[in-house]
Amino acid sequence: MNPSLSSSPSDRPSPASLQDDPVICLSALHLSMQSASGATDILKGIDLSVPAGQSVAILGPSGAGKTSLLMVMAGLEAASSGTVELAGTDITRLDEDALARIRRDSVGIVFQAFRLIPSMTALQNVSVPLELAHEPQAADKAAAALAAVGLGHRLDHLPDQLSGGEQQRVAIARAIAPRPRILLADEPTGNLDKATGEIVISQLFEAADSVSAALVLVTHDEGLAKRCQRILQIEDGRLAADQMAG
Amino acid sequence: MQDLSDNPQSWALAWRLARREMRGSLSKFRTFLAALTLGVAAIGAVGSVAESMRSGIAGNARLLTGGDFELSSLHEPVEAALLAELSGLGSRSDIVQMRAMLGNASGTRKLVDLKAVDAAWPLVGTAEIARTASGAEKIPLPDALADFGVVAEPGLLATLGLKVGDTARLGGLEVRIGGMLLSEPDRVISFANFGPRLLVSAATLEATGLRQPGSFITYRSRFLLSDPLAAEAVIEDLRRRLAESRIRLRGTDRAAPGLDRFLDRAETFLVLVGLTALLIGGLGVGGAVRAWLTSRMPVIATLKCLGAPRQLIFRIYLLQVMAISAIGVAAGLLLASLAPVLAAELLSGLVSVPLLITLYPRPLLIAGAFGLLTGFVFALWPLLRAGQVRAAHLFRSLISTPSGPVPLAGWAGLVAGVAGLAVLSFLATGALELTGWFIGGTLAVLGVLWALGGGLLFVMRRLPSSGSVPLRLALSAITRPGTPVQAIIIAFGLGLSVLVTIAATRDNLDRQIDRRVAEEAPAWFFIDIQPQQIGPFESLAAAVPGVSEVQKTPMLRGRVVAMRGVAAADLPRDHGSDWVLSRDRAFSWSPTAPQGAKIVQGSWWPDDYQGPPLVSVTQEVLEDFGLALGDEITINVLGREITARIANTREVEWESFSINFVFVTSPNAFAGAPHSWIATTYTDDEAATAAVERQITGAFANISAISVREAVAQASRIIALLGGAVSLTALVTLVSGIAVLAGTVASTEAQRLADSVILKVLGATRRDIMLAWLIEYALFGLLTALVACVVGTLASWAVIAGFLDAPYIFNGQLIAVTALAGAAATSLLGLLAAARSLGQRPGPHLREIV
Repeated sequence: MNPSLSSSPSDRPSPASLQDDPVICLSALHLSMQSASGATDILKGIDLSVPAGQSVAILGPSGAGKTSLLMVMAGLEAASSGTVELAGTDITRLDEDALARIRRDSVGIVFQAFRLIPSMTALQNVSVPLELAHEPQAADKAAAALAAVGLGHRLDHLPDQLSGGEQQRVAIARAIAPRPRILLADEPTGNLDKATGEIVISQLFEAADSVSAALVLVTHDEGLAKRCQRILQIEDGRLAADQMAG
Repeated sequence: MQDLSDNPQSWALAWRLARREMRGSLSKFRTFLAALTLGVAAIGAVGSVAESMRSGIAGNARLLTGGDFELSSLHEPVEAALLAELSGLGSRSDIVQMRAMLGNASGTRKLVDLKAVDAAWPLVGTAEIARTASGAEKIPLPDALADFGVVAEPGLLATLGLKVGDTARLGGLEVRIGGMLLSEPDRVISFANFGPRLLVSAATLEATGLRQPGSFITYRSRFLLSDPLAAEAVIEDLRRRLAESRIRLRGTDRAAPGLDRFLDRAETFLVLVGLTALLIGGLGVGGAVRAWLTSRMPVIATLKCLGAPRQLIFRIYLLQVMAISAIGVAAGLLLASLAPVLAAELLSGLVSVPLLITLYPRPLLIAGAFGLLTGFVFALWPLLRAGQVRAAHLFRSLISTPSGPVPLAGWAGLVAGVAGLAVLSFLATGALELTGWFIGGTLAVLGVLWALGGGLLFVMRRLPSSGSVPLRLALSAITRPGTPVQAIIIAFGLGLSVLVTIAATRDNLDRQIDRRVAEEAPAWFFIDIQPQQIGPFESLAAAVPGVSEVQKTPMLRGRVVAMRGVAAADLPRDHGSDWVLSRDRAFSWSPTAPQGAKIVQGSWWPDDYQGPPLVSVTQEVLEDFGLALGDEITINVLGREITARIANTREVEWESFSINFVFVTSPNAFAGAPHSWIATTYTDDEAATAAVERQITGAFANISAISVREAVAQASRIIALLGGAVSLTALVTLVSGIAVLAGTVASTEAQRLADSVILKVLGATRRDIMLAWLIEYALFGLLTALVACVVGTLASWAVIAGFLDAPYIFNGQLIAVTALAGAAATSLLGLLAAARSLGQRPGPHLREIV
């Protein structure tokens, strides 16, 4: 573990001290899905603003719309109505490739199922977003990101040669290596045991802190949610509660 | 930040990412590689072998021509003055060729292809003559031919029970077997000849008395110039001087004219075979790419999440497909480049042209381009779909192949790729119209197969639900959305349809020939009967017990030099009757219509007609050359041109084996010309057949007997060779079909695995699942067989009834057996490929699914 990245919720700055410029701004957001049986409303009028550097947990029962909200924030799902601004750009009307560029430049994503590219080594996996952004010395930066999550000795290992926890740490390194302004995580410990999950979560917070990224994570784990500065409760597609962590 | 989609470096980035992504992918491309390798190898091999034969012919042109050029004429030698004039330019060799009978002491005679040579033969190369067939104890040619010596092929001597040193009878002369002929420098093809070769000296031929006026004799004079560089000018001058004469000129540019033509046609045909294999293989390529991309969907979605635009993703996977295509193409080209070595071995017994073994870049480049373009065209659709994968699905593990409109650029790429394939086809075959028809026909058959498959699917989806669980599972697997049933029916159905077509057509041809030979054909054709011999011949033949009928007609050979006032060289040749102009043809004349002739237009001339010459032609020739009654046809016979007006047309049944001619003139047209007679004898039994040949050839030494049965056997050998080539089409397409089947099974493997895991969880045993799959693939096979039966029967009917105008004999058993055997192979192969999924334990996959 890299001590320079360690932090705890109490060490983290309070919301009031964060920069005022929001990096995520949702306004009157609606999301509907078409199916054979007709349209289903998933998100029903969400207004939300997340400033840079803030950590936000999204809680809620299954089917409430948590993951859908995260997908909208990643530009992976287009709002049916309302507006979505990411890092100062209104993405509501952007085409797929423009959205890909927004993600490349501003958004890092960590999945429950890791989603590493199985044919690439840890180093190559982490290099991909840097190479997509044409960052100079992509491999060096990727190696540094892996070292930061304690995997400096696993650079040339393929995903199936790594444990679940290690794979998720590679995914965190990959998400954070381009220094995104927004870090999104969907049940990042869902596939891990408790002890490994603890390590991964600590590194996730450290990683977000290290680049001052807003961290939005979807979880069922209230303990984990309490480590965030802000907790959102989603119920039936609506924002039922929005509170700062005590 | 740079705009990635416009970044020229993105190809480099795509290649970097593609290289990493490709790790471990090669094993998933076995089908893909097999399909491309096979098609490229077939096309490249055909082109390379053809080029090596052409190079062999070009490199040995003087050897095969027998000198720098050859003058030839029928019935009478080339004028002595011309020969004397040309002899001053270098050396000359005169050859006389005709049919004759060689008999042994016990009176058995065999038809031979007699070649009388002078002391100068061969001007180029050497003839290999030995005492034994193994080549031991070589004998010099002059020694072998001295003292009425003859040199014969080993097979002929074996048939007659003769050996070197024995005596035999040739015409009216007793000859000595002087040696065995093992190789002849100016003989190109050794598989399509009437009668084995017999070499004699010019003096021996004179002594035999076989040279009679009007006999079918070819005179050849070869010249080897002292100054080879002058050959071109001399040939050009002769070509001009001899344009309208009865003398034919052949230079080294036409060293092996028959083989050249055969080679061109065989190459075109076999390249099209390769193209079919590649097209069918393309379906396998498409299936394999689809299956592979399905397995890469999560990676594609991940790349999108990481910010990769659609174009970059397309490039990453296009580069991988093309890199793997390049591996398949390289393997195919390697095989193709080795083909001439293999062909030299295989063809050595049939063709004596030495193949020039080297690398031939043009056919290899064309084949390679075919492979890469096929890979591109068939992979394009799945690749475009890959770019449409929704990254959002990563969150829900619901990754599926996207559907939706493909961008216009995709269509443009597809059209460009298909156009490229068409251009390459033309470059490979050089026959634009044929290639167009072939590609159109193939696409039409594919369309028919697709429609039939769709129709069967439509019916099966409406069948009532079965009580048997395995049957229900099998039916649901076949009829589920995205079923590969149509792809399998197309891939296997095409090869199987060709097999059924060949089987049914050959069966029909064999039956027709057997029936005609048994019921209608004469036993023997007797040729070179002198006019004064025809009376005694008829009496002798008719007196043999068991001879039921003797037919006779006078005959001459000549060359059509003009029709309707248009010189032969300017007449259209793009039809089925062009052979009429290609060499000297047989003519006859008669006061009455030939027996059994069916007059289509006009009427026969009166028995005592004495007006301007008239001619009767076949209706087919009239139509093909666009002629009409009253038009003139000019024929050069023995240097004399005779013009006759068309009085009527006839329908000729060539397959009856009776005496038929394209041209029959009024008797006054060739009055006084030296000619011979041709006769046929019909017999009731084998004893009469043997007796009539023995008595006639014993009594008339100059008359040659051609056995219809042997001629049919010769034709059957050629048909078998062609049939073998067509069967190759079916086999190559079937092998491609196997690749496609493997590809389609692979593309459904994930679904099959998920199904089997769920079924096992629900309590199904391996046997239950295996049974369901067995039924599924048996149904696939049956459906394919059904389609192949329909298409194959229709195609063979079209060949027999439409093209050959013969009654079609339906052989249901043969068609069903052929189709079902192919279908059984389909079922078995499909089942074997699918069975891999069965061995998987449910646990790990269940965790993945859940």
